[in-house]
Amino acid sequence: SADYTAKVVMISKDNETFICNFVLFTLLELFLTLCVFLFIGHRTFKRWLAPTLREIKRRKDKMGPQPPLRRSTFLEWNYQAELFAFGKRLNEQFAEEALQQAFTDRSYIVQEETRLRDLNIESPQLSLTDNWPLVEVGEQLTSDTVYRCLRASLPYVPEECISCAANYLMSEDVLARVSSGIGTRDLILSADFPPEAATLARSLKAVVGALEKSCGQDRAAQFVMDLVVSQLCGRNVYEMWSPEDPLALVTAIMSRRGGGSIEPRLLGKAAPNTILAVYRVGIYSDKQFLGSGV
Amino acid sequence: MLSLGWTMRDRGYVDSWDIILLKNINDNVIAFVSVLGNCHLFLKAGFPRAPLKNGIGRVIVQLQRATFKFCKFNGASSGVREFLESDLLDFANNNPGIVVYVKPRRHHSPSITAEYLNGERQVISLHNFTRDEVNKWVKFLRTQSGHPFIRFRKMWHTDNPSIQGPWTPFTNKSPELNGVEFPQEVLSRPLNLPRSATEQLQELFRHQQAAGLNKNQVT
Repeated sequence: SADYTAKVVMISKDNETFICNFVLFTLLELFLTLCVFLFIGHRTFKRWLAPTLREIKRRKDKMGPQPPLRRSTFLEWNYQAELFAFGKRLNEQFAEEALQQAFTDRSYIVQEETRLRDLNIESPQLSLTDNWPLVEVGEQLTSDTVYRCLRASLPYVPEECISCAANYLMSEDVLARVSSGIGTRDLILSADFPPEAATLARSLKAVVGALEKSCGQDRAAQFVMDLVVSQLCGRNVYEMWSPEDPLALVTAIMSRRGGGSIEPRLLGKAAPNTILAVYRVGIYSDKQFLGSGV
Repeated sequence: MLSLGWTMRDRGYVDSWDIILLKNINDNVIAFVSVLGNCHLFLKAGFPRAPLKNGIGRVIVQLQRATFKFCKFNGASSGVREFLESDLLDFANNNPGIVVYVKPRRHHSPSITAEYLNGERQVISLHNFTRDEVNKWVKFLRTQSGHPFIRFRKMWHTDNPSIQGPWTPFTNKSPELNGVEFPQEVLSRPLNLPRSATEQLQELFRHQQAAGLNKNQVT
């Protein structure tokens, strides 16, 4: 600025022009800096950002909780592509119509028919079939496969335990969790959103039915074993099964196997004359140690 | 909402606190700094888990959808455009279980949104990324489970850490102690008392006697 002021001094010959030029110049300089500031921008945090976000949040909270959006309402959605990918993800070859039918819930068809009737279409003709026949086939196949798989792989386990484990695996919670984990949530056409556990479980059974229709029973059975029976991994048996008379059960097993009578013996005790007494009991058969427990 | 720390979402890259991605060395090298240790204030802690026992029956790729958002004209999207032209079809053909959406958006920074089977989303900004970098991040997203990033307390997990049952005071206790009346002289002795000089001499004498007897028998 020293050079500029020197030039200004040199140019002007009298005091008035000098003052005028000086004032004009400073204004010009100020304007140029402002221009630079406005048009290039300052590369630091924006002072308007936090208050804007705060206001947006305030308005959002004022609106209250909004219902969740279906993934199919998004712009980037292609149902056919999603169905194709669903099959490929599971390494299975589904027939298109079968898979489409598997995901169409009865409640969706009812909803659509009601909607069309409200629009004064008297007998609405929907090209959708609901998944009920596939659900029936799938349920039968799933429960059969689960039971047979458990029975075959655990030959010495008592019948009640096997049926308890099979019932656990066929329960709505487990099937809903499996269904959700393979990505049926976005594909299911149903009135309820997010889909309830019952809907998810039904969809999974329908998918098994669709697979049986497309590829045959063996592939469907393998699918059930891979996805449903594997949920037993790491579970505690006694969460699913509590035997009423364990001693009688063990006696029955031993007599079936041709072993001797069962004899429980006390292996150890702690604080026997208190309310927190602990007794360690060992089960013996023909003086052979079978097992122990507290 | 997934977060690779807050750094990832804001800056589009990660710093050494979370994961180090060695971009420039080799095409296939992605190195991870250990996430053990409690130096991560914002990372929750947990154990590695497979979603839905993945791998026991069959392996299911957890990535469900990938949405590429890019600008057709801006320079920041040039790497993404190159990827879309050359590598996208290969990626789509090799991974038929992943639905790929491509969203051209004018004047928008490029990004990829990955949606996983557990409902989680991961958004990565691809601003000024090269085609190679885009490839690497796509590969990275494909191999994730969708579970939020956590500090691993152990690099393994089991529901049943003890096979024979955890230790109880009864473990390794001999059942003979049940029929014992205390005080008992034998059980009251110290366990590892060294033999006294007298006892050692007595033992020596006994050995000698036995040896002498043997010699007499032989001769």
